[in-house]
Amino acid sequence: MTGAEIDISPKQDKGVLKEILKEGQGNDTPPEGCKVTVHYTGTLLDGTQFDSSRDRNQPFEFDLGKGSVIKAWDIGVATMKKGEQAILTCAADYAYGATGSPPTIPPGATLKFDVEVISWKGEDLSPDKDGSIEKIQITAGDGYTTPNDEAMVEIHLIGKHGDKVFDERDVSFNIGEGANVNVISGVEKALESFKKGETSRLIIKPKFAFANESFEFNIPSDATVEYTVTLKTFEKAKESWSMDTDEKIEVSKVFKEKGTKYFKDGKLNLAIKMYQKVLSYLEFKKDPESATEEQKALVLSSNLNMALCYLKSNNMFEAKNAATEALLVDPDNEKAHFRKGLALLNIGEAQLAADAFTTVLKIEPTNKSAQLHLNACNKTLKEQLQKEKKIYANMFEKFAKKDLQREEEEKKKQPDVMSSLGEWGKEDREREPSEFEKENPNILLLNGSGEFKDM
Amino acid sequence: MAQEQFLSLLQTALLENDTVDAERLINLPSNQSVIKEHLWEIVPSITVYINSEADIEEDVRLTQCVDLLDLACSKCSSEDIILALHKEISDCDDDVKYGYLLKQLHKALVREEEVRLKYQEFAFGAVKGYLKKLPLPDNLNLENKERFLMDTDRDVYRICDVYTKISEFYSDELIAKFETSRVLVLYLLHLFGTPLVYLDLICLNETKSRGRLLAEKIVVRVAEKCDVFKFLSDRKFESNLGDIDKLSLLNFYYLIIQEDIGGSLVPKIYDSLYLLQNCLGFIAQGFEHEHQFIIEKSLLLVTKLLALNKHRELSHLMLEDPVHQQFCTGISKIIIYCPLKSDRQRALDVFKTYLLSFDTHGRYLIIYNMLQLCTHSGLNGFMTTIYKDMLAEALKSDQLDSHFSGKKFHNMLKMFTNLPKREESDLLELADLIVPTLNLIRYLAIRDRANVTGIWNHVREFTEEYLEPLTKGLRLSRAHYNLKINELEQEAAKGDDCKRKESSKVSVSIGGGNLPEMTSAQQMNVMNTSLTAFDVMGSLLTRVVELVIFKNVKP
Repeated sequence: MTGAEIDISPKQDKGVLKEILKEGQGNDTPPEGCKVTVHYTGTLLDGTQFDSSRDRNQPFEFDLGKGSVIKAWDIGVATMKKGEQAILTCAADYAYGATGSPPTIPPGATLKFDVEVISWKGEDLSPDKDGSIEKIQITAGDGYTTPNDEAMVEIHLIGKHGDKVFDERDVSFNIGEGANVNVISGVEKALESFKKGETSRLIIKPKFAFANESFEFNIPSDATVEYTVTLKTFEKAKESWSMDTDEKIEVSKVFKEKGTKYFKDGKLNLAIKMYQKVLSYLEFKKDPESATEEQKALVLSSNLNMALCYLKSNNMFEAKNAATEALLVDPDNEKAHFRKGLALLNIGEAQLAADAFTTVLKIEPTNKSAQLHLNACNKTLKEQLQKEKKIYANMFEKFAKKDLQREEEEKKKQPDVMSSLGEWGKEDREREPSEFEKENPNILLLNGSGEFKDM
Repeated sequence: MAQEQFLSLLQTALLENDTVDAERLINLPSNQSVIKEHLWEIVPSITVYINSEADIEEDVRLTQCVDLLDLACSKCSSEDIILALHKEISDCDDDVKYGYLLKQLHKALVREEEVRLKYQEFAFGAVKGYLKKLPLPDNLNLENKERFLMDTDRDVYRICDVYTKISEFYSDELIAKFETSRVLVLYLLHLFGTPLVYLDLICLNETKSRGRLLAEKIVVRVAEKCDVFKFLSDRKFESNLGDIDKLSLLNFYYLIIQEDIGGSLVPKIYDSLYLLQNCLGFIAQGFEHEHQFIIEKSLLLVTKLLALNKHRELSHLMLEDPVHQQFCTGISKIIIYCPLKSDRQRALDVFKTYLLSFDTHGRYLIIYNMLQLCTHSGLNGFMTTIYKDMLAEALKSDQLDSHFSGKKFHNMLKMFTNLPKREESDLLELADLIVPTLNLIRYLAIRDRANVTGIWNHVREFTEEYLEPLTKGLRLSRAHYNLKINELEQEAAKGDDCKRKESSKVSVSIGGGNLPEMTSAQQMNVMNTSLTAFDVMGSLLTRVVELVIFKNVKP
């Protein structure tokens, strides 16, 4: 249908009017997020031309639906087919608003664009820009941030090879560790450009699909596959400028739950990482005075759980530190004292461990486990004592003996003047005395047997 | 002829000023292969006579050597010439020599049908590399018309000279030849960075500096080749950006958006908000520098971008991008520390416009985060006042926004009423925050009798944590200052000025630093000003305490 002017603004407020000059081909319109190439000429209502890609002889390329161009274009171009040419009449609210863009576009100006869609292509997300990961957006997401490397993402994905769906599920993982949960690297790379809530279709070449890794899906290694992925949520960057305390508490609760889940699954390192995140979000250390009860409770339980994780992963020093941190929040916490005790006992600080277990028993006299460990501590202490006794027994005599030995050794080290100085070297000394020398021993300092006296 | 022999003969001929013989040597058919293979060694032997001194003395040998260079190059392939000249330009530190080498490089580039990408990079890279050797102009903090003086600065003059040569190098012919080359655009963008960004490129009273005219030419060159705004989002570009510093882009977009260079070559289709969000990173980068013309570019660009978005409310979702944090940190530094008063003032205006451009949640988040980030009581006081104004506005509506009541309000109040060392805090330093805070409490004590904000739930807390220590602190400070004044008066009476230092038992520090050497009269003056500040705080405080007690007594 050409010639008629239709209102295509979502609100139907005549913000964007479209009049088709030339029909396009087919039925497809460019999907959101793709790169559209157009030619355009922009004029004011009085006919003044303010901009034209045709005059520049340079087709104009932009990302559709990403807010990079004026609103009227994101709305208008999305309705156009390939080869279609139309006039878009854009009210100020859908263009440069009451401010305009002086000096070219006056305040509050309505703009007319003669637009022709030349072509479009999906967004190329491959690192080498060789088209090996192509994204075509289906639903736009919110906000401005995207997951970064190592971010925790929760997605829904549908994997297709030809017409066959080989994978459909909800999955959450850390970007970079997708292989553990059978998610190909192409999907991971693409996710780094997703916004929260976004759904997109991904066309992934073998290089980023099944060429280098083996998965359980039985897809040929040279297959180009298609995925439809929804990014349901992801973990926000640390210390985000856009959160206040309440939001940070919310986020940290999520991490705590995840930590607990990982702990149950036996993934201790991941669990520890989650608890650390909880603590970094709460920033408890920065200002312990003003922390709310809720914050304190979170800090306490995270530290307690972290201590447990460290104990299980045999990292006793960290376990002790975590338990100590927990005690800063709640000095009478039974679990904290107990875990601290365990850690200390394993490090070999039996006395300190015993103190910790004694405290536990003070708080909860019926804690059998603590009693058992206290006994173990005492046993260790006794053993240590025995050992020490042995070591220190007859200490003075031993030392005296040692000193004597040392003195003698020192003496031995004294230089032997006769053998090392002057012309009287060893040969001189060890030669047989002559007859004359034997006859006059006193002169030549010979000993009784006629040998040279050692001086 | 062997290469050493040829080289030594050539060098001798040139030394003896026998250019005819040198020419003969180069033209000799038997030498052609040596020249082709060893151009990189021959070039330095010739260019040694091309330099500024020879240029000033109008040495004939200079022109002759230029011709010889031309002759030698004409015997070789473009790519060999590019390699030889690349090396020579890297070693070069003379502007005259650089100019002639550029001319030769230009010839080599346009001569042959095709130059491989790698060699293009060598050539353009060499051109750009020389810029690092130029001295940067001093930061003189000039104001108004003083800035015209910059054009007579020796360093600026030299930078402009070099840029003139570069501008000639990137001729229409060269640009046309490499029309599709992406590398060329990147290297053109590089030119906007150091040292050009240090120059005054503003158009003041229709007077343009020499640097500005040159910059305009380069902008047009880029705009002719591609969409100037595509560098804002192109991630491929980003990854290739490598050492294109953000300063180059700051300068580039400053010239296009604020100075409106490029005219019809610049697409008028980009959304103003998109431009703001994507330029903020470069702008923040500008604030990291101390040079007045860089800071000014950042300030002017952000002013313009904010003005373009005047008609709309910015969403708090934009703050998810960490550039906002960088921007706020950067601009607060300028507001507090910039030596130029006009820039400080401008930065404060920008910050206010920026803050008020956001929706309520956005403003709340910025104030909340800035209060944690910034320790300057003046700026914090400024934000307190803005919060109060927002609150006053919000109270007019029937339904109070959640940012001004309950927990969020309490969070803010706690930050405003933070006395780091209770009564021992430096009240003079904090005065700029204390006065607006007391004003806020006073305002609410009168206005919010119905407790919609929830302020009365925290009376006990802020009385104990703030009002009481403040009362005590003021009493202590006053006593301390009065004592000092007494002492000064006594000294003045004695007229024993020279022994002032020894006899001063009470010392006063302001803002952490001791008072500099001052005469008694000056010291008295400072003391009295300080006492006035205490009085202002004191009277406000009394009024606030009155109001609080009054409310509590009344059922």
